[in-house]
This record gives sequence, structure tokens and C-alpha cells, in this order.
Amino acid sequence: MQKNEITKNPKVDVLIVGAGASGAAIAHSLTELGVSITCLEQGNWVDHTNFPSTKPDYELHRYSDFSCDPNVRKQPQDYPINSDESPITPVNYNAVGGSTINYLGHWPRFHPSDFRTRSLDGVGNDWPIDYETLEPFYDINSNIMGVSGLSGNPAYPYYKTTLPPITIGKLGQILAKGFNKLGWHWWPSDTTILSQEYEGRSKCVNAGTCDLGCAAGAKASVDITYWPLLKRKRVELRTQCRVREVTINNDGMAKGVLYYDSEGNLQEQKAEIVVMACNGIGTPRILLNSKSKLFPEGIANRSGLIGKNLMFHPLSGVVGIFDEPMDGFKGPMACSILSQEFYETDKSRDFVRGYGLHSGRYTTPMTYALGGYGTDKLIPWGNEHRKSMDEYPYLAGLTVVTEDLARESNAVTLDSGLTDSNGIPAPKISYKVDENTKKMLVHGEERAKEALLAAGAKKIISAGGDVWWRAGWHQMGTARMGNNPENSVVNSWGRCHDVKNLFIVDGSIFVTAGAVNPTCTIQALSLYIGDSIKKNVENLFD
Amino acid sequence: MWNIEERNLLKLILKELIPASEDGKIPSAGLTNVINYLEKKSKEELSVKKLFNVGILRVKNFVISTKKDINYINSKDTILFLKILENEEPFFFKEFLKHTYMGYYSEPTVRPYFGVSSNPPHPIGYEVPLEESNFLESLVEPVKKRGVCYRKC
Repeated sequence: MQKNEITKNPKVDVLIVGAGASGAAIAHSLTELGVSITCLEQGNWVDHTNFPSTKPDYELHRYSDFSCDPNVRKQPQDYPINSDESPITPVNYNAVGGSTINYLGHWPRFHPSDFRTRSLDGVGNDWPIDYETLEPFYDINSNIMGVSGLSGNPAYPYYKTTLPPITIGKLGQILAKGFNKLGWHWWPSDTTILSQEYEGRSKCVNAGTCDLGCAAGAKASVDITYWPLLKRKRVELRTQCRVREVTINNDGMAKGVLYYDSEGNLQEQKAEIVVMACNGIGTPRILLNSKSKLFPEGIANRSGLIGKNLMFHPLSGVVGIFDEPMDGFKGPMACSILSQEFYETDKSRDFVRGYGLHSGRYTTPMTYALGGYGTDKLIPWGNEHRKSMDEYPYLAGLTVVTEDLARESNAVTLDSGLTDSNGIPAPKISYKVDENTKKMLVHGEERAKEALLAAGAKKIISAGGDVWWRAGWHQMGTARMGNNPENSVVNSWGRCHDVKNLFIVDGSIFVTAGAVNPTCTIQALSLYIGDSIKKNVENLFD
Repeated sequence: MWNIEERNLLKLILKELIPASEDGKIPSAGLTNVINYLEKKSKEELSVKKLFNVGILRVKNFVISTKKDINYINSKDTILFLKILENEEPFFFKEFLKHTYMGYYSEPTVRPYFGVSSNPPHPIGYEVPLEESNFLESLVEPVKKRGVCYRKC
């Protein structure tokens, strides 16, 4: 039954909002301080034995209760997102583990140049930290998550992977030979999917439905990697608790948060330090909703940049039809091989920065019929349908994953006309694909066709430059990092310039987007911020 | 919910939306449980029910216009009707087609025709051997030979 008064909880030392990739990582780092840590999560624990991939109608769940799109999924823990003004809609998962529950486990690191785009290429901004700063934290995180891969990728400074690579499969081998024919870079994908048993987790069974939850436990979601460690260290996790706002005291410091519990009652949780870990959409949403006399435009928002500079990774796909069955449904969906031949800026091209060519294994027949390979268009009906489906076993695809450049006009704001079940305004996305990105997509599709043909494809199917609607996995830039409080929200170690006991550790603080899946860098960054808090603990609020 | 006549009307178009394979080995959407799936969806969601009712009415009118028993309407006429329907009721058509595909390909008996197991992917998954390290090393050798390909900064 709902109460009218606010329930007040005893003050804690550290309060983390969000139990996903970044929240779990910083909690782990801060446990070394021996302080009280509480984490609030709007979702619940998920039961791995009940994932859709264990059910006969598993594919249907991809388009209903286990959709990556919260506007389709509409589970009690989800909040709606207004994407009417965007060609890309954000996707996520709300639970203990966050979007690592339904992500695909692809684990490439950022390149050193991703931290220096202004100096090198005259676009975006330089980060206040560099690759070397994060390098040790990439390694720590890899060991906790369990990363499979092949060491020695010449696209990176040398690092050692935790486990040998997963199988690249028949499809990966054939594409690799195509890349070799062209003399282009490619490498087996780094992934948090296990090639062998590790820390009590089973190896991958090549089910091919990573987005529907990994019932084998081979894919590292943080509910099965970090959270068992955190429970042992007595980190308190309160589930089904949805934070409405961060509150502030008269000294301009964060007092704590107000949140709704599972019964819809409003509770107050005070803390010495508040850490936001709700992803690049959820974090600005809460901060913008935290209005006070001191911060009428949202807490810690004197720069006016909270919610701005939203970056995704616009994607498109190209498919080749081969002479022999490619077994594309066998093995981890997104992780086979990755070409970074076109990752770095080349002045001879008509765009700056670059993109990756990811060889996704194509998924099941239904997904192909409903959207082809990322074309978002149903394949034809009638006799043409049968012809298209006859080609299904012979498919291999390449996804063009482009770097997005920050634009203030690409933004998250609040939509007061659309709310979640607790009446909290929903985020509204205003986003346009940049001209530079459009050129990259065109270039990328042409190169993907070349690679597929070199690998032996007899026919090419392409999205024709259209970006995928549900490509909003990677949400970055909406509370960016920097040394100057006028053009950034947090400092070089995640502390808000305006509120010195408020930290942000998710993709919001990215300055640039790179052209790779960001979770690996999000977690390294979160561990680095945790380390910085520990180093600065004596004068944390100076 | 749907009576036999309505079910037959929808089956008439289902078998043209996803026809059987030429050799007859792969069944059409009219011969699988798609109709049951569509009926279930229609029961679950009012908006789907309303939409499908529009379609049923159009199919009924089409059958009347042919002045033939439903069992004697030929494929050519049905396909022509579907093309008109696609043009005149694009929203219904797209939604109906989407649900038809979902109903058809969620059938465990259909997946094996495309090489995919009828079982759920977990717990068994698929046997895919790991590449031998020598083989993988030989495959990446040309990439290694080209040397470092990131910018040092």
C-alpha cells in the first residue's frame, strides 16, 4: 500500500544509482575503502534459467517481452523513450546487470587516437585522460569479466587477453580469407563470451542467441561476474527502486536521492557520495529532473551540457550470399571477426575519423524474414519470399559501425508529456545523423561489398545507406568529461565540476565515441574513477 | 474466436504470403499453426484484433466478388487481390505480414527446413569446433606482417 510520507533511510557512505556495467565496476573498486556502499536498481534480478533462449518460441520474445527496445518491451521496470525526432532509438535492459543482460558481449577497446581527436584530426574534443591511463583498468576488468580473444592485434598497443579466442566459425574463416586477399586488417573479435570454462562459468555452446540472455552463463553479464563478488563484500543492493532525483543541500553538495520503491512509496536515501551509473540516457534524465534553486536547469548543469552531445554508433549492414552454407546461426551473434582497416583518419577520404567492419553472424530465420540483415524491412511475400529464404543458409554479413561526432543539437531532454509508471518524465531524443557519418556509411558499405565479394559472395544485399532504427545500444557523451567547467560536466576523474560529491561513471562522460562497442571502455573508466576516488579520498571535495 | 469461415478466409491469403516450396517439402503458411498464432495475437491485443477484422472483411468481399466457392479461387486471383490490398491497406498489410512471418518462423517444425534446430538454442546449442591455434595464427599472419595499424599518440 502506498504511503504519503517519505521514508527516510540511514545515511550511507556511497550511493550508486544503477547496477549495470559501470555501477558494478565502481562498487567493486570502492569496496577497498571499507565504507558502506548501497546500490539502487530500478530492475530486478533476472533468472538465467528462464531466459527466452530456453523456450521453443524463443524468437518471438525478441519482439515482445525481451525486445532490446524498452518501448516494445514495456516491462514494469522500463521507462518509455520518445524517439520521434531521431532515426535511431535507444535500446537497453533494466535489471541487475543492466544492458549486459542482453548485449552481445563484443569487447573491442578504444584506440589511443579516440582520446585525441581534436589534436589529431581537428574534430570533437580531446579527453582529459588517454589510452595509457585506462590500460591497467582494461586489464583488471578483462580478468573479472573473462575476455576471450587473440593477443597481438596490430590495431592496438599490445595487451594479453584472458582466454583464447572463441571460434570464428566457417563464416569468419571465409571472410578472413577475403580480407587477406585485399590486404586489409581483420582480427578475431575480443569478447566476454567464454571460449573455455572460467571462474565457475561454462564455455559458450554456440547457441547464437546472445541477445535473448545466455542461459549457459558463458556471456559475462555483471550480475554473474561482478555482483557475486560485491555480495561477498556486503555491498547492499536494493532492487525495484527507481530514482526520481538527486537532492542537494544548502552548501551545493548532493544530499542523496529520492526514489520510488517497488510499492510506489517515495524514499529518501542520503549519502556522502552519489554515483550515477544509469547509461547515457538514464543519467542525464535523472540529472535534468533534479531541479533546485541552485540548479534550476538540473543538478550539476551550470555548463548547460547535460543531455547534449549525445552520440550513438550509426550502423548499416551489407550481406553476401555465398555458394555454400555459412552456418551463421551457430556461434555468438556479434563476435566473429572485426576489421579496423578504415578505423583511423585517412586524409584522402571525404570524411574524418573512421569505422569498423564487424562480421556479425546472422541470426535465426524469423529475424532474417522480419528485417533481413539490419535493413529493418520485411523480406518480400509470395514467391519472392521463398527465394529470399532459400538464400538464408548461405548468408554472411558485415556491419558498418561508424564513429559519431559530438553535436550539441543531438540531445536528451525531458518529455513532460510522457512519463514512466512513477510519473517521472521520460527522456526525449533529438538526433540527426551527421554528414560526416553519412559519408562514412556510404564508404563503409562499398568496402563491405568489396570484402564480401573477395571472400566469394555471389550476390550482395545492402541497406542502401539507411541506418538501423534499433542501433541505439551505445549511448555516450551526454555529461562529458573535461578540465574546463564551461565546456564539460565532470572533471578528469568523473566528479561533477558543480557538485563535488556527485560522480558520473557511465557512457555519459565519454568525450568521443570511437567506432567500437563501448562497454569495455565504460567499465575501465569506472574502475579508473573508483581508483581516483581512493587516491583522493583525503581531499575528495576540495 | 474466429469461426471456420473466417479461418478459411485467412488461410486463403496465408498460403500465398508464404507459399510452399516448389517441391512441396516446405509447407506454406496456410498449412502450419500460423492461423492459431494470429488468433492468439488477436485475442491478446485489441489493436491487432481491430486491424485483423478490417482484413477479414476485405478478404470476405474479395471472395464474394469472385462468385466462386473459396476452395475454387485460384492462386493468380488471390495474388492479384493481395497486391491491391497491399496498396490500399498498407498498414494492415504490413502488420499482418509481420505477424504471419512471426507465426510461421516460430514454429519449431519449420526451423529445421532452414538448418536451424527445432529445439530451443539452450542448453544444447551447436557444435562448432574451436580453430586450432596454428590454423588461426596462419590466418592472421598476413595481418601481422603489415605491422601496427593504429596511431600512436
